Amino acid sequence: MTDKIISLKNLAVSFDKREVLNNVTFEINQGDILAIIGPNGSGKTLLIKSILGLNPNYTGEIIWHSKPETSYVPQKMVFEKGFPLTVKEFFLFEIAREFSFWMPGKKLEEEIKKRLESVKIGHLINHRLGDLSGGELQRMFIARSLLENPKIIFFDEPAAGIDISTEETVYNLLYDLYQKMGLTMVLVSHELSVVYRFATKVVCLNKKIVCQGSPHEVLTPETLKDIYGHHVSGYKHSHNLEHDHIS
Amino acid sequence: MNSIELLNNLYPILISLSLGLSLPLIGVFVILRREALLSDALAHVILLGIALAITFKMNILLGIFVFALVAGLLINAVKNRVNLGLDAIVGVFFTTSLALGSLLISSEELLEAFLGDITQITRGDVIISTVLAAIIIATLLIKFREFAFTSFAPDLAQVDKINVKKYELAFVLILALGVAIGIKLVGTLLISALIIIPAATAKIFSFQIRGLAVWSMLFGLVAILAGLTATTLLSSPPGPTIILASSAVFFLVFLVHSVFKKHN
Repeated sequence: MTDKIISLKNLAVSFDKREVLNNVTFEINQGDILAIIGPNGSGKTLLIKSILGLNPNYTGEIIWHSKPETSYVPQKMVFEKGFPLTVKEFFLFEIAREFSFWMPGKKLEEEIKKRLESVKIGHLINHRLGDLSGGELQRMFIARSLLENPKIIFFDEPAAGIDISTEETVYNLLYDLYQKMGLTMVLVSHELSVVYRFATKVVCLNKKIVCQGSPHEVLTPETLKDIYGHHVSGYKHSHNLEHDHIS
Repeated sequence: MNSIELLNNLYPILISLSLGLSLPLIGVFVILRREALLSDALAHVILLGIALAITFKMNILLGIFVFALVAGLLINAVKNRVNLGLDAIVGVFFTTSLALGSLLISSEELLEAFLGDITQITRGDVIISTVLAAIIIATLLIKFREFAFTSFAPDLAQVDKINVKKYELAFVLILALGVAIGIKLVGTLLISALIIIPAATAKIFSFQIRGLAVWSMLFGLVAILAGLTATTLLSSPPGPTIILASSAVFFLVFLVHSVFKKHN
């Protein structure tokens, strides 16, 4: 039996007093890699922000059946490039307590280093956030999201704004982590190929739920036309998650 | 008591320590949040508080604190709800406070409120300022991680179960108290400079936010001590002299850093 983590019932989400989504009902179960897809402005980000409690403008129900350790990787974070803040300090925001932010000690430093090395950027620990490239920044966010051994992670377009080869690596990295740590993942993505390859479940949005289920079953040319409003080519990307893992 | 006598006792040391350390530490978060306008806005509202206290013959310090806290709460309430943008809110409402305050009091009192006057600082003012500054410094240092995290990445902080709204409100109130305790020394026109310039100076070369905080406090202390010393030697008004000392440190650090960078 699958364990439910979150249930959404008749959710309607608004932005600037305008209803962006309505009648959204689905469940997130333990072990899911749930992909949320839809065109620009279809409310994907707003939906996960609502689930995470970052957007109070909704009606309907969002039920967390348990309180798992939760993490979030935002689509982008606007910050001043020249602001003095190192990768280590950014990680300390999450794991330091009271004065250990000022004097972190060896144990905390090793924990941060270990997480950074898991995404192959251990050497960047003392670099300034503003000095990191797009790909490095995304890896750093992923490493940070793993700091407190989360059970569920929300990724909002984790490969947004980075080049294709780096994007490939980011998704492979996520899939490796999924396998090693037994995570549940909720993933907002624009990339249909990624959804076919990695997701166990997909929710398609365009103001409401257009389709939901296994990507291989529900992502037909007709549903894709309903989502994006035009023919989408190259949708038949028949990789099987169990057998076709990219490493 | 004139300013030279005042400099011969303990008050200036306490004032220097309390304002020189607390205001620049607040400044670190002001530049992190990009809310430099907020300290100006608070100072404008406080001028109205000073004017009303003088008009109704009430305690000026009481007027300053009441208006600072009310303005802090008001700003926090409207800044995320009103769709005008912070700069427009400041432009309209807080300059109105400034204009009203200016009309209510005499030119001499207005100048004093604009530029501050150390000779008007009483023992009570010093004690209140020192105690409040100590509270501000302790709160910001002990809860530095939370204030910095909620300022830099509020969404991530909230997912990590930190009460972002609580820290936003706490910061605006701390800023209001900071402006209130500094206003008698440097005046409403210059108070935000005392908050911003030391942090801006430290930002020129700092690599870490912890270093930024420590260096900001050091530059703030240097500026006030140098400014008060220059005031004694030159008999110049303390408010503008302190700010000029702070600006001098800024340009000196900027110059040294530019030269150093060129040679590396």
